[in-house]
Amino acid sequence: MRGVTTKDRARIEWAVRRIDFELDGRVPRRKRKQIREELRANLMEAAAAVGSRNAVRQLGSLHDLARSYLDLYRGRLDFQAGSWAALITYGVLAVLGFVAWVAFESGVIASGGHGASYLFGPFAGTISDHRMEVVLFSPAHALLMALAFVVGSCYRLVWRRR
Amino acid sequence: MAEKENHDSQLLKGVLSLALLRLLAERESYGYELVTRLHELGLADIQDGSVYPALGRLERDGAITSRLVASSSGPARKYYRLVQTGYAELARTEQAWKNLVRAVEPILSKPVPARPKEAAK
Repeated sequence: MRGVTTKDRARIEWAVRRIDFELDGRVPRRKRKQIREELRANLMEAAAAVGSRNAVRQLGSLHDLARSYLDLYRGRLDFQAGSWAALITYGVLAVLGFVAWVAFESGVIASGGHGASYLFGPFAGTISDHRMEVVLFSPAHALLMALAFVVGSCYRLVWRRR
Repeated sequence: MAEKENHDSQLLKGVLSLALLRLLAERESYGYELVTRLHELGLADIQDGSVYPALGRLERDGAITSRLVASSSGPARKYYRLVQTGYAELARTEQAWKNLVRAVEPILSKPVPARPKEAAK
């Protein structure tokens, strides 16, 4: 048996948090806490016997371990997938907003105009001689992101029924 | 300590629950202790990361229960104990394992020929 140093504790905590990150938003909070506590206790025991590096290595792939816990304790909703869906939706809207602005600007120049504003759905902007403005966040963005979050969070419910 | 041998990881996964139930029938244990007991019995290929979720699965299925026990060397340990359903599950899987071994043994006991016989035309 050897002593567990601060470095060992940090290594153990890193491994525990890495697994926990994959469970975040997918496994109920209380269960996640129990998993973290049990893993931490077992890793501390293992670190005292074989060192923290080997203790973490003996776990095998942390991703595979997290998947095993997910298979066991996955909740009905997947808030992590919902968050990703909302983020991706915002990215797509931002790119489309920029494309819309470029297209609108080309139209204004081609028609010999000096300035104009446009607004359709989440895409809004102003083009004038001295400045250009693109709306990057609006209530329409928020609504679409919220919708994406809900769909992303619930996709497993639909998936399971099929 | 048993001699270290190589084991097929898929085969090990298949019998892991049986081995855990059997060890827990002997005495109450916590995760890492079960890992070391399995290693001492010669199953050194079993990774800690496959034992902990397997214990969770057995607990979810009602074969074992757990309780936290304070430890002087660190965080509280989660001790697992076999319950009535677990004993029934142990008896069932032990019998299934014995049946499987009995069925496979005659196949493996025959000497392997240098080359397989060709199919009759």
